[in-house]
Amino acid sequence: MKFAVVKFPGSNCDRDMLNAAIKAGGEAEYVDYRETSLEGYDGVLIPGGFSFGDYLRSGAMASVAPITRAIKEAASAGRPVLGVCNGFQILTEIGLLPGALIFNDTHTFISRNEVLTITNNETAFTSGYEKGESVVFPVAHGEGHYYCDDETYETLAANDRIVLTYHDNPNGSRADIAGIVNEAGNVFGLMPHPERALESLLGSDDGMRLFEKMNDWEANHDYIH
Amino acid sequence: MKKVELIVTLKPQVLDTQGEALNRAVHELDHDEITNIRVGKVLYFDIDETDDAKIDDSVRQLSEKLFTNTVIETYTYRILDEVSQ
Repeated sequence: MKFAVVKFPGSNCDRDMLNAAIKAGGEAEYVDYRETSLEGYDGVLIPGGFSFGDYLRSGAMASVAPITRAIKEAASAGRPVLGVCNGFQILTEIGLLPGALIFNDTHTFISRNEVLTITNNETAFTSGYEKGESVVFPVAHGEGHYYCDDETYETLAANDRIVLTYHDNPNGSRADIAGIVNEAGNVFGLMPHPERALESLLGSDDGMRLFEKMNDWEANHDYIH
Repeated sequence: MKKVELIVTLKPQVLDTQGEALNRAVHELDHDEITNIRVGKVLYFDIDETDDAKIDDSVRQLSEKLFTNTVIETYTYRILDEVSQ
């Protein structure tokens, strides 16, 4: 699998994301936000950071960047699209995932390891985990509070689209939501950073299986609706 | 050419952490008569158009595409005076 790591001005987890894809056995290249095509890439990785300085709202400026149309095309073609942290915020702003990320209810920026539960392992992203398994990924965000209205929440819950939840909700997210997938199961957004959890020596290697499964996307087809 | 004032606010059901923090600060300043502070944004821009319906079109399109996130925010706008050129 060949992955595009989309770089916006202010992205700062792009190198970790590139490293994660390569470490999982894939190929990966940076793609500038001014590009208009993602032809030739099998998957898209949208890294964390503060794209466009979080001007207006987190992810707002990125949602109208030239590369956005290509990200939407990749998503509708069924290719895997992963958005982490600011990448998740961008995916909600683009409309590929429902809801929004607002300021943490703690009023603080949170940077620490977080224990999470894999609530759905029947996705092509999470099939390497056990259902109910606890994993540790770092979080680092000021605006990670997942907000959605009742109707959206009911749809997410009824269709098993809540993939990842917090053990100890750090930010006020509705129903402890840390990550969700789209209806088709090929777009995954999460606030915690699996790309920073690849080495047990550095605290956790729980993120590795996510990237390995993404790199094994074709074999995971059963999970894509 | 007209000037537009666009006011963006969080929907009432969306937690406003900035507003909460300001409320506390204001109460520490002994102004207990002030409550329910909500923080929004205001955008001013010039628009090269004089027809109100066309202005409405542009403002609405951009507000829904970029200026606001309609999942969490609402907006109102008003057309200010003619901009002298």
